[in-house]
Amino acid sequence: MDLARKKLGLLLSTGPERPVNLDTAVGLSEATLARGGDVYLYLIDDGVRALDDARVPALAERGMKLFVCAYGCQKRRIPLRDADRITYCGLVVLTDIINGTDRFVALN
Amino acid sequence: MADDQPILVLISVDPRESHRANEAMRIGLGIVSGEHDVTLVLTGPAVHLLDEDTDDLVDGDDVAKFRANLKAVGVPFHVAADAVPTAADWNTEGHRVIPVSASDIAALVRASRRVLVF
Repeated sequence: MDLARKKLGLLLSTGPERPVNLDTAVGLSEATLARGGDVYLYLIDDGVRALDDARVPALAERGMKLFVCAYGCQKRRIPLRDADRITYCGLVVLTDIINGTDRFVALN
Repeated sequence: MADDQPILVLISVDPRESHRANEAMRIGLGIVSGEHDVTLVLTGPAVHLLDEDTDDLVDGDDVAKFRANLKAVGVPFHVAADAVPTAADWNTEGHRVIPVSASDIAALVRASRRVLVF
């Protein structure tokens, strides 16, 4: 499948206690970016803790669009950081990603 | 994939044990707020999201708030028929409940634009 300019949306709602979900998100993102596709990753609920995994900001450096649930960070007292690479936002943006991507995968 | 197909949020997490049931319902509410149709399905212990007493639920205050918001915008709960409690203290707020079978749920999934399972 030609992924060039195709959009992949990913939702990650689990934390480090379920590493297979983060590993899957990272693997799908790497593969999509390598083949010229666009990746939109939305971290929500315990998934916001994935910001501490070095692979996530590294993917943002490579062009992945990274969105993080501001409410989830607030509840967990996670300070906002790297505002130039990370978009802190709400559920309307998640809805846009769900609807606006060619493929969408929820990792819950 | 038609734009008018709903987004389905299926919740099976037990709200008495995990905050994730409430979070899934919040996500469903957020999708509705984005002016998209959403189909909410509760299976197994997730039906306790409609318990009268939310004190025994994780994030119970939020559960009460979000389900009231869903009621206000007219989103029904599709509830697995085999999981509907018979206790009198269930769904005392009169949320619209649509009992569904396993095959009904499968049909709802097929008819949906996207599916989120918690």
